[in-house]
Amino acid sequence: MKRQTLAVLSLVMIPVALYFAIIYAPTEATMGHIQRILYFHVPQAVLSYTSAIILGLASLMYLIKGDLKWDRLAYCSAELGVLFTATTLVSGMIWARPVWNTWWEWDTRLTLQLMLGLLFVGYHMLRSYLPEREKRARLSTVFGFLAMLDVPINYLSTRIQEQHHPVVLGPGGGGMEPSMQLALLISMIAFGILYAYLLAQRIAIAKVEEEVEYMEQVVHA
Amino acid sequence: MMPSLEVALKSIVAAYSVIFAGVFVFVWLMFGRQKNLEKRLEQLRDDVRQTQSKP
Repeated sequence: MKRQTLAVLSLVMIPVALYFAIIYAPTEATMGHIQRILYFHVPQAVLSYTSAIILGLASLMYLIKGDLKWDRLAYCSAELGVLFTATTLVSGMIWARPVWNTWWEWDTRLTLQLMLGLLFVGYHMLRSYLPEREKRARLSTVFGFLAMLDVPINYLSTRIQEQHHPVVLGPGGGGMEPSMQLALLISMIAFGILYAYLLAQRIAIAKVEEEVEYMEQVVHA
Repeated sequence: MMPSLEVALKSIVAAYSVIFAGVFVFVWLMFGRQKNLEKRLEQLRDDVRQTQSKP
C-alpha cells in the first residue's frame, strides 16, 4: 500500500476513533468517564510492544542475513518505539493521578514499560557512538533482543503477580462490554494504520540518509 | 476511585493531547529531517558533477 494512502487512511480513521472513544462507548460503571483514556492508551502500549518485536526480529534477521535493510527496519521501528512508549507512559500517568492518587507506582508493569523506553533510547545512544555502519548494526542488536524480551515479561507480569495496573483484556482480564471492545478495536486499527504510515515514511527517509552518507564518502574520497 | 466529571474530562483532554502532540512532533521532526537531507543530497550531487566536469 502506498504511503499516501496510509496517510489519508490514518487522517480519516483517527477522528472516527475519537468519535467511538468519546461519544459511542458507554461510561464505565466503576471508574466513570476517565476510563475513556484507555481507548487511546492501550493502542499506544500495543504499538510500543510492536516496535520492540519488529526491532528484535529485524535485529535477528540482520545477524542471519547480514543485509543492512534489516538494520534500517530495526532502527526505524526503535524510533517509533521511543514515541509510543513515551505516549503510553504519559497517558497512563494522567489516568493514574485521579484514580490511584499518584502519578507513578513502581509496580512491575510500569517499571518494565519504563525499561522498554530506556532500552529504545539506549539503542539509539549506542548507535550514535559507533561511526562504522556494520559495527553499529551488529552491536546494537543486543538492545534489540533485550527490548523484544521485555514484551512477554511485561505482558505476563500483571497475570502472574497482583498489581495496581488493571488487567482488562486477555486471559485473567476483567473483560469489556461489546460496544467498549468495538471502540477499542477501532482505535487500535486507526493507530495501527498511523504506525504503518510512520514506519514506511521513516524507512523512506532512512534510505535518503544512507544515500547522503554514501555521497559524502564519495565527495571526501 | 471515581473522579469527578470535571477532573475526568480534564484528564481525557490532557491524555489525548499528549498523544496527538507526540505524534505531531515526531512527524514534524521527520519531515524537517527529510527536507534537510534532500537539500544536502542535491548539494553533494552538484559537488560530484563539478568534480567530474573538471579536466
